[in-house]
Amino acid sequence: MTSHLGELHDREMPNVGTFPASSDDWQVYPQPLDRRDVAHLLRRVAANPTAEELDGFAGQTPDAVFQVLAGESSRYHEFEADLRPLEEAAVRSSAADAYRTWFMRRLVLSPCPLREWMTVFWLEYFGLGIDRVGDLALFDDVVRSMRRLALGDFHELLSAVLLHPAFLLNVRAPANYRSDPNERVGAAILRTCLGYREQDFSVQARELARAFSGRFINRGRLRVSTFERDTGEKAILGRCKAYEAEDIPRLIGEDARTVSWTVRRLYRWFGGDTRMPGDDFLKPPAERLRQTASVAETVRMILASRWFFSDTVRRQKLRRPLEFTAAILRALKGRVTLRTVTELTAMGQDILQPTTLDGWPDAGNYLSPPALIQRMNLVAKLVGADENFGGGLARGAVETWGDHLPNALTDVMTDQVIPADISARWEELCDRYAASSGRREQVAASMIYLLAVSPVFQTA
Amino acid sequence: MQTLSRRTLLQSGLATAAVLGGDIPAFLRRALADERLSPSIDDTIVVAIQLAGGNDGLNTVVPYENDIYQRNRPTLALKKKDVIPLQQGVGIPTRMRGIFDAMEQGGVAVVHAVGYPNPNGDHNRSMEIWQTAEPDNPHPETGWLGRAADHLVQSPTAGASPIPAASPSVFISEIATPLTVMGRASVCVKAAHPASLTLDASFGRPSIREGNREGAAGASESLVSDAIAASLRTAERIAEVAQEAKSGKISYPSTLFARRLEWTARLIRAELGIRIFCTEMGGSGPGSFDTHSLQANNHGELLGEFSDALAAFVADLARDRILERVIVYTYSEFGRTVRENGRRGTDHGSAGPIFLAGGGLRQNVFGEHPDLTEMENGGVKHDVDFRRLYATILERRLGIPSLPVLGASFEPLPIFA
Repeated sequence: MTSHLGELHDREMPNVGTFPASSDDWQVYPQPLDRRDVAHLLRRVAANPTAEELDGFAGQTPDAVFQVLAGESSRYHEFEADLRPLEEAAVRSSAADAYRTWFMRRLVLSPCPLREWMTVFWLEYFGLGIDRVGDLALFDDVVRSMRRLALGDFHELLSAVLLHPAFLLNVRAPANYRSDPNERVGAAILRTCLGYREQDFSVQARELARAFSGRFINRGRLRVSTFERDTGEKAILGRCKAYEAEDIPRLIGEDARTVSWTVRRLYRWFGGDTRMPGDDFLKPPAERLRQTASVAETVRMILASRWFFSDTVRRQKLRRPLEFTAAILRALKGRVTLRTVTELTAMGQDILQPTTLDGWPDAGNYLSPPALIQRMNLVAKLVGADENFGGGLARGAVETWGDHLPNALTDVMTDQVIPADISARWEELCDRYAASSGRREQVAASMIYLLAVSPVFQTA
Repeated sequence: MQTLSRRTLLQSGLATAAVLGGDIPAFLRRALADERLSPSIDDTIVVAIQLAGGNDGLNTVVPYENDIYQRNRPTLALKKKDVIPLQQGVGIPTRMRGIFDAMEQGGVAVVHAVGYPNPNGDHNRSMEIWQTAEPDNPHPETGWLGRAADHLVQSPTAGASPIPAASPSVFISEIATPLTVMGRASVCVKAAHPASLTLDASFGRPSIREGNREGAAGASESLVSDAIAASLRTAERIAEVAQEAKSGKISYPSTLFARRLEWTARLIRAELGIRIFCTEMGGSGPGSFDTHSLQANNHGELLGEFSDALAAFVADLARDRILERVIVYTYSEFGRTVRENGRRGTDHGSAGPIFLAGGGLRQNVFGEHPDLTEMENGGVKHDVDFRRLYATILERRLGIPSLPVLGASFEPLPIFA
């Protein structure tokens, strides 16, 4: 581990001393959700609401909505039955780009969006990258495990990932000899699960690595060599025992630092990365995770809280390219295409490759002027007629909403408030839309474009 | 020469004419007149050019009078008539006339025998070492320029906003963005061609630039509003420079690599605050410089294409003094074997020459041509650790401390005046 890593990390997830907090913040939001609340919730858990979600969830309690979002309905099984063969075909032919496209389709069209987006969360949490793993079948396998356990038992999830061959490949540790423990395995666990950022944690990393000795990845399969296993005592996280790899997920999962770090990551995921509270504020959800080991319970506590629906949180999260693009496609039922997914990579966010083990850069870094120009151009392609980008986004919106299109777009894309900075132009387009009796697609495209490139749509 | 930063000039309020006489560079004219340009953005720029495949250094900077060279390369060795002399017994192929002319004018230099200890002969691994400057880290995640970009977006002068005023780095090619520019905190935008950063004409510029910021619902939207306004100015500026380019003062060759450099020059001239550019020639995978067979004509053509494009780029940037604050460097994963193989090609070697281009270069040849009796992996031994070059670029051109980026101290090279 080179010495500069720690220095470059010290601005990550800063504590904000003035963060407003009160004892009521983690109480359950006391009222049924109105459309604005639903829009806020769906923007955070699934990039953007669809019109159906706005209609269907309004008037329900946060808990009830959470149950639907987290559950596996019959529609979800039908969706899975349709999509899974396509993913399997991509895996069989090692077609990573096709796999990316199907993955994106899940994020846009899945009837269980919270599960799909939590899979992205865990992908980033563990820093698992399709190129780093280098074996699409193994990558797919670990992603499926993460999806299955995305809202399940935290310890089980840690086991499924940390003991998976893809994890060892991801950190370039396919061979783990007793005589030469691979510190990268230990360092990766300490960084991703416990948030270690110290300059030197090689002693701890080495002890963890000893537990993984004897594990080899050969032709995509895990082989365990009894001879190469280090059966001696290891001092890990203040405990000393003859730990083996199978013991590590539980040991890690029970550690207070893991719980605290994981809740901070969840907070960052749902609350945004521009302001971070101190650990004291996050104690209640951390305690929930520690006591129940249930990801679903912890996420529910966050999403159903007064804090989550407070003005401190609303509209404060900057959208990264993935969230931005998925938001447009979810709002307008757009088609997901290979070219669209490729554009995300050009904007710096490969959806199956967190940039480093620490994940993707903060959202603000995706909003530099050149990156924003690329966003604007992607919107133009999405609303245009180019079939490479799905074609017909505007046409579909006109067919769906007809005369009601201006109100429907306002509803689904802007939380029913047209921002002051674009209101004049919006009014002009509304008038043109109302006056156009025949082909309205062009005006509709301009309206979608205007909303999508405005500040209100870059935030969630 | 120490470059004056725009910020320094703006802050000091120096009478520009007194400093520069009547000949004010375009970027300073704009900087002094235009509040759009952030005074927190400094001026110096690095351009990395990746030559994938392992460029044959011995047929690039040629020891044409060396017996060992001639004996080991019965079909590939270039003769005196094939080269333009640079030093005693050393020259560059005649096909590289463009670069030679630029060297004569001080805009291009060559550094002999650049490499690293215990060279690796694997394409991917050796390229990764050049890209990351972390030969001892078997699992590198960031490139050296990516870490430099991290420094730019995280430094106190970058301001408190989570949105950077400028993109710190841009990659210009169609291939996957190389590790060189991958950072932990910063984002490298890939903009393969001008259309990537030209606002789509069918929708035009949304009328939000003059918008009412008071109407923004929260702090985040307000920040984004500023960022969008900046992006619109960026698009306008790129369009302006594209118009200027049509005047055709400098003619670039019609090759893909030349187009990439022309686009790079446009973005530099647009003064967008982008400090790091990366482009490539040779593609991905093993790359077209991987000349295992029938090397002579292929390699000659590659060098000619490279030379013509780089010469045009240097001339373009030199015409209004932009070159003075730019440093270009080339890198390739390794040089090639001294001995040619049985297929009239060469195999993976070790060190090789690299080219520099920019302002303030002290001389046009640095170091001595490597001794061909001392070989490593069948190629020439390195005399200059490439991390010394990186440290020099960081410290002397980008103004970034090299230790946190490179993870160790390296003695700078005396390449700048």
